[in-house]
Amino acid sequence: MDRQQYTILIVDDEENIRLLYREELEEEGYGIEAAASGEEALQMVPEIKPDLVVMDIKMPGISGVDTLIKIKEIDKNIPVILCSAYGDYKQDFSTWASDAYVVKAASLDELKKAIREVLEKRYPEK
Amino acid sequence: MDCRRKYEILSKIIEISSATSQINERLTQAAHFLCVNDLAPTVAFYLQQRRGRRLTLRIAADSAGSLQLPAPPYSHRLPSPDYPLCKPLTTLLPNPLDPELLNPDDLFMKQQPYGWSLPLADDSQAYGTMVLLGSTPFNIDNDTILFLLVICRQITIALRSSILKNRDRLKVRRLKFLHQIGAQLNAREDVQSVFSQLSDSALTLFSNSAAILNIFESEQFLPESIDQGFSDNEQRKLVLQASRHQASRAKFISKPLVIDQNNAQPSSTIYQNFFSQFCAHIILPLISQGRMVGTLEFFLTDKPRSRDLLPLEKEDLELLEILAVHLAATLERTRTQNQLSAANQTSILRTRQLTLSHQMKNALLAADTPDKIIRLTLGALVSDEGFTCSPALYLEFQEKDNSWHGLFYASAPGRAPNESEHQNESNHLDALTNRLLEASAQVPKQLQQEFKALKLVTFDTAPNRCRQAVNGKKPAMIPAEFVTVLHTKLRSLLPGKKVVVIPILSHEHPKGLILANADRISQEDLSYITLFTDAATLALDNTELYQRLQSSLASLNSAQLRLSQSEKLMALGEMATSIAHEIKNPLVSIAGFARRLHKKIPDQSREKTYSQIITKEIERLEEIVNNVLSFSRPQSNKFEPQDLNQLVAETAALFARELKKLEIDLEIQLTPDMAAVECDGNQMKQVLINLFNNSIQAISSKSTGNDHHISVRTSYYCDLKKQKEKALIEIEDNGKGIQEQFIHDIFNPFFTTKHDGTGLGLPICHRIILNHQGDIRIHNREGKGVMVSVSLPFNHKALAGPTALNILT
Repeated sequence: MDRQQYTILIVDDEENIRLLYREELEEEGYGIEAAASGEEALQMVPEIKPDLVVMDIKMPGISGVDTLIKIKEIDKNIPVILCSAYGDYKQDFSTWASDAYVVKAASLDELKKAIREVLEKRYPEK
Repeated sequence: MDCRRKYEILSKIIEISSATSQINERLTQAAHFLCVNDLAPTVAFYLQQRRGRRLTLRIAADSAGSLQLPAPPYSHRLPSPDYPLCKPLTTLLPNPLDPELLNPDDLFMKQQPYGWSLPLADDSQAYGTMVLLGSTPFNIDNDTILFLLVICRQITIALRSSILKNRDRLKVRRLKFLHQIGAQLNAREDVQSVFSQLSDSALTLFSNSAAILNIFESEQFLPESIDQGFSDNEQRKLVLQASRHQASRAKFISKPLVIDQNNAQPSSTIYQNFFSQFCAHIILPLISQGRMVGTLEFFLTDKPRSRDLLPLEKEDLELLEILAVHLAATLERTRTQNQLSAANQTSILRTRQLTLSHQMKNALLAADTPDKIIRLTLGALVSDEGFTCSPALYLEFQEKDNSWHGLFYASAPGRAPNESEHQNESNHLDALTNRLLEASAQVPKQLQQEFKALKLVTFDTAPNRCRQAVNGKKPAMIPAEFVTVLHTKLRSLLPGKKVVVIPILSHEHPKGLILANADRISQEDLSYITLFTDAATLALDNTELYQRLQSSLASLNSAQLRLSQSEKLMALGEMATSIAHEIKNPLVSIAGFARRLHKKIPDQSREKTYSQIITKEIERLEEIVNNVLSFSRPQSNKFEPQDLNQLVAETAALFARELKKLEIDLEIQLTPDMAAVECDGNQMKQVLINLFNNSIQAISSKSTGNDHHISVRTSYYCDLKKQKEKALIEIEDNGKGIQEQFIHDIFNPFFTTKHDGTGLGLPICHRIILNHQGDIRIHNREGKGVMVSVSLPFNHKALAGPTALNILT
């Protein structure tokens, strides 16, 4: 899998998290774009047409779940991974529209694994 | 006969007849005087002795003096009003063969069949005849006849005055008698003494007699007899026979009944014997307010005076009737008085009983334990101030095997309570309670023990009335022999003739049975006992309610305590959750960048060690945050049938490496073929992980010993209380155990004895197990280890409402 073909849009209101994810994922070889809010993400999605969106749920302005629904309206084929400190939301059916749900943790291994799996599933030909 | 002589004779006769001596003596003197003066060889007077038609007294004399003659063997008829002034006896007694007029046995008349008869009569009444007799016929001239008539008139006057005097004397005697009776009747209260006085007086009035008083009780004619005045037993027997013979007749008479030889039934052998001793049987009905209250019977033995006439006159009978009326009134009065005083006494008794039962009820209601109530009830039953049913015993019903066990045995104290105790009202209730309790404890130890060993296996063989009492929930009286059927020993514990059976109920179900001696109580007392035992039952129910109230109050208090604690915990939990979330984001970036730094720092440098410390500490921090979040997270349970053995095995596998490293032996004993347990597999795993962690930490923090082991067992058992099968997991370690002082805190969130613990491990386990309607218990042996047992129902419906700890979320 050629990871440089994939552009991942990171949506999180925490600048440090955006920076951490960018560094970690660029190291993995993905192309990374970042947005600080749901509104910004919705502006960027039609322009950059990301292959995957990794998004926080609890953000000022539009929440992650609402943003997820709007992204799916723009292009229902863009996979979205929700990533939150709240483990509880995993069971919430409104988050089931996402392709994966990852609980934020000190180790990013789980997130990386989820990204790999979603991409392989979504773009098997690449 | 010349005038002068006639005058002398007449004046002498007047002198004789108006003398003060006895009339018989005067008549004898007169007869003698007439014979001496040659008026006739023999002069006789035939007199009516008592009122009637017959002349029964004969007095005669001749010139020699008085003739001692027996009473005539037959009776002369009293002269009729058209009786001639003077008739020769031959015309009166013409034919010696006439049996009616001349008795052949009368030797006196036989010897002197000739003579003259002159009437002794005045204008209003005839008294008898004067007869001049001789053995040869003799004539009297008209002058002499007239003279004799004057003499007769003179004698008649004497007779009349004598009779009037006699009658007056009798009248005075009767009046005196009546007066005496009246005074006695008024002075005496009780029938016996009235009767004895009365018959004494009556017996002085009618000499030689005996009396019986029969008193009829209520409507039944069961006479109560009082008798008096019998000289010997033979007479008494005769009298009683006669009285009994007439008893049936006596009930229906309304007038005095006089039975003498003339009107007794000839067939009656009783009276044949009777009349050999007595001359009359008089039955007086005692009637008061139209009701027959008794009879008064007199038996007269007035024999010598007359063979065929009653020694009674009409006035005497009237007098007796008056007597009967008085006696009847007295009887009635006595009876009424008796009834009144009985009613009065009963009402006093009832008042006392009511007061007492009221006080006892108060004592009962003040009692706080069922045992005390039962003992008070027994005390009240046996004590003299209560129902005097001593001894009494209580059998308790045991539902599990339908048997009855001896529990309490009570008998009355020997000592009567003294009055001062009664009057001390302030602590009267306590005193009463103590006395009653004392009464129920006054039994020899040996009897008490013997009784306590008593056990009635079945009640089916009990006497009918006993069973009815228990089934009908009402006290009943049975003959004492019946209790032997219940148990042979009972009879010796319950001497006496009658036994009262009192079922003791609690909420309409039999709780016990009181058996008590009932010799001294009536059917009416039984209803008081019923009232009283009802109060005891009520008190029993009350104590039970009270105890239930107490326990529910206690559990309410503890629930409130837990609630207030869990409210605090809830607030704390909410705060912790929001803090945990806020911490989580910075934590993620700190951890991320620390890792990145760690990668960039060359190995074996000091910075490498520092960054490693940072990473490790962040991991610890994250674990705390995760625990906090998982404790306060709402639980949504996914109950599915799970194989507990498999869950245990999987969890144990997770720890295999760590156990090996710490040199801890793990022993797993799984009960094969266990049914699946309906539970949330992930949560159950979490429980097992937490428990394993605790055991491992307890062992590794123990300083001494090197024989470390943990054992895990699965099994199942039957919960008797809930009658349900349950699965059981036990995890046992030989670690350091829990310090006793902390044992009550181990399920409290955030309580920990470890320097790096979160204090949420056991609380999470606790909550999960409670959500599964299970139970978790810690068996602590301080310094030696801990065994945790978790029991779970095999299947259950998910809880409808939240459990106490669910309020936390």
